[in-house]
Amino acid sequence: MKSILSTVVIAALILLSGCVSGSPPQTINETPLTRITDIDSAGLFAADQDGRKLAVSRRGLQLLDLESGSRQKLSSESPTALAWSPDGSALAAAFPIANYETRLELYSAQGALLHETLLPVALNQMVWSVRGDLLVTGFALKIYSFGGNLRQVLYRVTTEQVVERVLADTSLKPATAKKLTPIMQSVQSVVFSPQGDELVFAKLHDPPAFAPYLQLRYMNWENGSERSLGKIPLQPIQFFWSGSENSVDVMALAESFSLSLWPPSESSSEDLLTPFYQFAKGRLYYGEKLVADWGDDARLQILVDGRYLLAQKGRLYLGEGLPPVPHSVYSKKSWTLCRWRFEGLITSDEYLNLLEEKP
Amino acid sequence: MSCLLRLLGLICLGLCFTTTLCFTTTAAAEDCIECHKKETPAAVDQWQASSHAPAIGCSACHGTDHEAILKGDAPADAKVCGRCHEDAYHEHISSKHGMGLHSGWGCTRNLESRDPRECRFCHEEGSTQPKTNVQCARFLAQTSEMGSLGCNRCHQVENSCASCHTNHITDLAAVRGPESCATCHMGPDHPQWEMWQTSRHGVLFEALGETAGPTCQRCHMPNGSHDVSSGITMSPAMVQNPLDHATRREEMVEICMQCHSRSFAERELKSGDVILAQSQKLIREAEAVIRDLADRNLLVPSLQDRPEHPLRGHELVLDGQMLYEDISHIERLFFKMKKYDLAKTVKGAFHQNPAYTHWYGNAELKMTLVDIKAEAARLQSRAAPAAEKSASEVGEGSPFRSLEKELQILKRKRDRGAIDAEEYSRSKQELFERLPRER
Repeated sequence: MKSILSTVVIAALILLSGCVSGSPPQTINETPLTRITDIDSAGLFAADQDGRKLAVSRRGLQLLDLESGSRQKLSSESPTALAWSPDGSALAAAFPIANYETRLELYSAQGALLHETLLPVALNQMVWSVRGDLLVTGFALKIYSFGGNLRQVLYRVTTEQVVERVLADTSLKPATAKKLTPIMQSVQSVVFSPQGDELVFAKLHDPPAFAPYLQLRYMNWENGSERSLGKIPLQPIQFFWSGSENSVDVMALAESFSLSLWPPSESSSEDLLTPFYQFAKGRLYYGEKLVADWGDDARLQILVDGRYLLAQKGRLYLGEGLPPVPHSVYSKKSWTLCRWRFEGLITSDEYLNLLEEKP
Repeated sequence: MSCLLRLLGLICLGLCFTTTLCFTTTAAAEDCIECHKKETPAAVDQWQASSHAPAIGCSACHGTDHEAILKGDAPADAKVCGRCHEDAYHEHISSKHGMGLHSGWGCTRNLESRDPRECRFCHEEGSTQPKTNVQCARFLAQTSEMGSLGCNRCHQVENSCASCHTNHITDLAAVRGPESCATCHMGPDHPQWEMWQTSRHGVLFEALGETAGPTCQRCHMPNGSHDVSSGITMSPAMVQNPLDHATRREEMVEICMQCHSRSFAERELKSGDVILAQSQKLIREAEAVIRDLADRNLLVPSLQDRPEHPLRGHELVLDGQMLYEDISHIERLFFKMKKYDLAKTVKGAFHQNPAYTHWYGNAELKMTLVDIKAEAARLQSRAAPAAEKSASEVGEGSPFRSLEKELQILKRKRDRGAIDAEEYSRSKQELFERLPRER
């Protein structure tokens, strides 16, 4: 199922990026790469935004200082998610404990364990907002003789507290519970906005006497406002926030489409022309241009200064020469305007006009 | 011979019919009486002394299913009485006594300012017939015991002739006196009994009898009519219906003219109309103060921080479905103003009671408005230091917070139609000018 979905994703990405298969790829494959360390097969890695510290899954979790080369073992277990805070002061790592239990650990940039907490879910997404909120989504499926129950939850984790917001709490018919079990992870898609203040997720509905379906929902997690974007039959699904920030691309097993989050305006169509990176199946596109093709199993993280980390065949390399990535920086104005737009205090056009106002 | 046989046949048939009828009524009553002489002796005594006793037995009204009677599934309600008392029944159900009094709300279908959602309090979807189990927020907020003893004893009048006539007494002397109305038409929300009693009408009645002073029934149930709305130009919520005002007014003038001149009656009633309009203006002024506070989220407790209104959730409710509990103090003052003071002023005027019109009514109405404005000022001044404190605490965030608050106020005003789209947009643009500019 996973491979089918991947095929769909890559096919859709190619379509979205302007069908480049006929043109000769201008790759940066020849650019010299510096080997940094070994990495577990399919192991995770994450560098902070400045590219000074690197967390890597290598027989557990290790912290590397890319400048000095020093190395520190943080855990003997391998994480299922890694994320650096936007200011690089904290590293979040998630470890699966049981089917629906996850341990979350928060480390300082120096590798000191700051906080540890258990979440009663299987991890789905872990991100930091540009403001510095650690956000985790997860799910828990309980099977009973008479059906099942699916909880989808969003957590905001700080060292002081864990704030829970239930995204969905759905009772399932026996047939749905049976059908859902093998594809759980793939129907639990969540994507956060570039700022991390909003998310799009699929909420499962299983009404009696009707087929189960996924309702696609758009939420501002800070005030809890949410609205429906539409619904599709129950199937594997993935979301990608598009470059315009005003739409989300939906890659479902049966179809792919784009969902507008806000009414289109002239400004938003200009946004669409701004190039952005898309990476899938070892291929990197910048806008419509294929930049590199490292092979199917390659994994990539692009740093803010155009350097990049490439994991390939159990080794992690550092490269350079990519166009710099415009970095998301916290702006109180942008954050607040987004929330106002969601609450209906300002219109979509007012939002865009106010956002573009120069000092 | 054949004529004789035919005559004998008719006599036999007549005897059989009479015997059957008597047997049915007597047997039905006798079946019940043996036990009910012990169980409910007053009911039996009253029935035996009533005009029903010779012909109408227990089962004629109560049916024969004793279990259903005990469970309350076979009530001897207004429909049962209406099977024989057709005219009285139809007058009753078409009057305000028969129109959704469970909700404390008359029909507003012809009013310009009506809220279409009001219909569901009294009507099933698609039906013009009032339903008995209409919803009333104040009723729904009570315990079932309070609902039964405190609300329904009066509001059951919609479907219960017994509300006035009692269950088994048929002697009209029991309902022809003004005391009969006093059970419900008294107290702080509509003290018609008290205001009539101390008006010239009531005093003359007490001193010289009905020929000198009219009773409730003489003006509101003229010639024994059960249409108690005859001549009344306003709803229980004290809103006048312009469509039938002239007709209703003429009905009342005709009644007044039994003792007074037309010009006197018209002048007096017109003065009542003016007092109603003046008083409603004060109510609207108070309502605007409270709505503005709600827009600014200054009510304590706020709409979100209180139990949901049984019919409208977290909305601000200031109409006929307003509660007197789980509300802010200023709303409680408004409840008193609208439910008590307004009623005393206006009904005092129409019942010719100067003390109720002025001191219990008008003066209280205006003093409560003073209280409401003072409470509004207190709430506003209470919020101001809190806003300053929060602004200093959040540092650079404060301009956003203050703008957000003002945008929320504007949105609430726009949502309830207090400002039009143009003013909304203009006011927002003014606020946007104050938006901090980031470098």
